[in-house]
Formats: sequence, C-alpha cells, structure tokens
Amino acid sequence: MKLLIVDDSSFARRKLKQALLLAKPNLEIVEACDGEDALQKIVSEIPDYCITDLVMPKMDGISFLNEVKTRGLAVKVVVASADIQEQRRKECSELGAAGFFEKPLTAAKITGLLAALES
Amino acid sequence: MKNLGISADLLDALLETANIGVGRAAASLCELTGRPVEISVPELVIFKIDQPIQMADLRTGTVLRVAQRFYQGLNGHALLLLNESGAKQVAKLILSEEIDVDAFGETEQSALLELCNIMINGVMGSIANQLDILLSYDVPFLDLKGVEDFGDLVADLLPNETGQIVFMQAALTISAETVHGYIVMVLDEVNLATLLACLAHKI
Repeated sequence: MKLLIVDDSSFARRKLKQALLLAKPNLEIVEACDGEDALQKIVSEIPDYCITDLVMPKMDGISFLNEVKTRGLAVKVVVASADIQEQRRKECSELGAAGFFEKPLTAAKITGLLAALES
Repeated sequence: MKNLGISADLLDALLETANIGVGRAAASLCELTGRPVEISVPELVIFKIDQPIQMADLRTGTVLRVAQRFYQGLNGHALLLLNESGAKQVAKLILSEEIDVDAFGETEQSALLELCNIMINGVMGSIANQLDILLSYDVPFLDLKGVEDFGDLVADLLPNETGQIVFMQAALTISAETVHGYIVMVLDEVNLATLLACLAHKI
C-alpha cells in the first residue's frame, strides 16, 4: 500500500510519516510539498491513498482536492489540517475527501485516519 | 483601554469568543510540548501605530514572530510571539531532542512554524465557527525581530496609511520553562466593526 503525504511543512511530513509507520510498518510513503507537486506524484508514483494539508503555497489543499475530483484521479484523499472551521470541513467533504482530521495528530487520530483511508 | 463604543455585553461576548479559541490553542501547545500551559484571558487593546506599546514579557531583545494573514469573512493578521530563548526551548520540547541553542536551523523553524500554525488556526477557526463566517489563510511565515515595542512587530504587515489598529491579545507561559509569548489578532477598525456585527447577530 502506497501513501502520499502532502504538506509544505517538512516537520509535519516527518512527524506524520513516523506516526504512520509506527501504526503500519509496511506502508510505502512518498511525500509532496504542495498540491502541484502532489498531482505530479500521483501520476508518477500512483499512490493508493493521500493525506493532504490545506494551507500550502502554489496549490492549496482545496484546489488540490478539486483537481483530483475534476480529473477523476483514482486516489483516496483525507485531509489533515490545523484549519478547524466547520465550513471548511464541509467543503472538503463536498470535494470528495474521505475524512478530515485536525492537527495536531495524536495516535488516536492516526488510527482513525488510517481507518478512513482503508474503509 | 480606550472606550471603543462597544457595550459591556458585546465586549464580554467578544472576549469570551476569543477565550474559547485561545483555550484550544493552549491545549494544542500542551499536547505538542508535553508541558502544562497557562494562557491569560484575552484583552482588547486600541493601538495607534506611532504610539509605543510594550508587551511586558517581550520587553527586550529578540522576538520570534509567526504571522499569518486571514481574509474573506474577516481581514487581518494573527501573530504568535515568543521570546527568543523560549522559542528555542519550545522547539526542543516538540522535537524531543537537543538542538543547537545558538541557531534556529531549518528543522527548528519548520517545527515552530507548524506549531504556531496549529495554534493560530485554533484561535481563528474557533472564532470563525462561533460566528458562522469562513476565513481563508495565507501561508504563515516566521522571522526573528529585534523589538522596542509592539509597533515593530506589526508595522511591516500593515498598509502605510494605517493609523490605528485594534488587537486582541492573550499572554502564554509554559510552566517550568522560561517561555513567554502572546497570541495576537490584529484588525483595523473596519474589520473590528465587521467582527462586532457578526457577534451582535449571534447574541
């Protein structure tokens, strides 16, 4: 199972990668630093799943979700963001996000996040 | 505080709305550092850009500033300010490792930026949820600034013609560490009026 982490923060990517591998050691993880980078990685790496932040340079998470939906890309996406606005959560859901998890990501949230991806 | 023409009830509602968000930010800071965090009740302050205002715990030296512009339902800036040595201690706590105390490397900056982003979004998102407005955010940035007073921390964020701003601030400390800081929301008077109108509609 291959998973793409999309976050402009190298710290956030590293912490999330560590937590995911602790929960699921056989995961293959690739990283992208914004939505544009993520769209390229979806084509080149063909991940099964994707976890994306929202506020990022170049292409933000909302635009990225929109592109994934518009292009019909076969990747399941969940959002992991510090943006806790209920309207934003709804917007992500309408754009096809399979789940929305608020940062900071605790071990319990990581478990829920993986469950949302694999459901 | 100068009289803003805000009724006592509305001011109370405004500060309580902010207080809920600040509590959320404190919980995130506590979770990431593993230390108890104390945050003061927010206060509202009128600030003339050319009038020196000092922030007690950041009176001297260099301050780490993370700033994030918000827009759409409300326009302004949210800041998280930490004393320099405190910022290094926080980075050490969230990275769970020794860091070079004389330098802010890329790893430390990335960790602090992410932490502050979570805290700022906790405050602003909570306020937006309570007021049924939607905020969009720019990518936050981090810098170290030598400061004499609060004006040094906001002057470069504001249009030149800005004369007077309003800010809501809450002081934060981490127990057993010499970490002092502030969470600040900076608004001009037009956006304060927008915020108060949203709030009046809710109460």
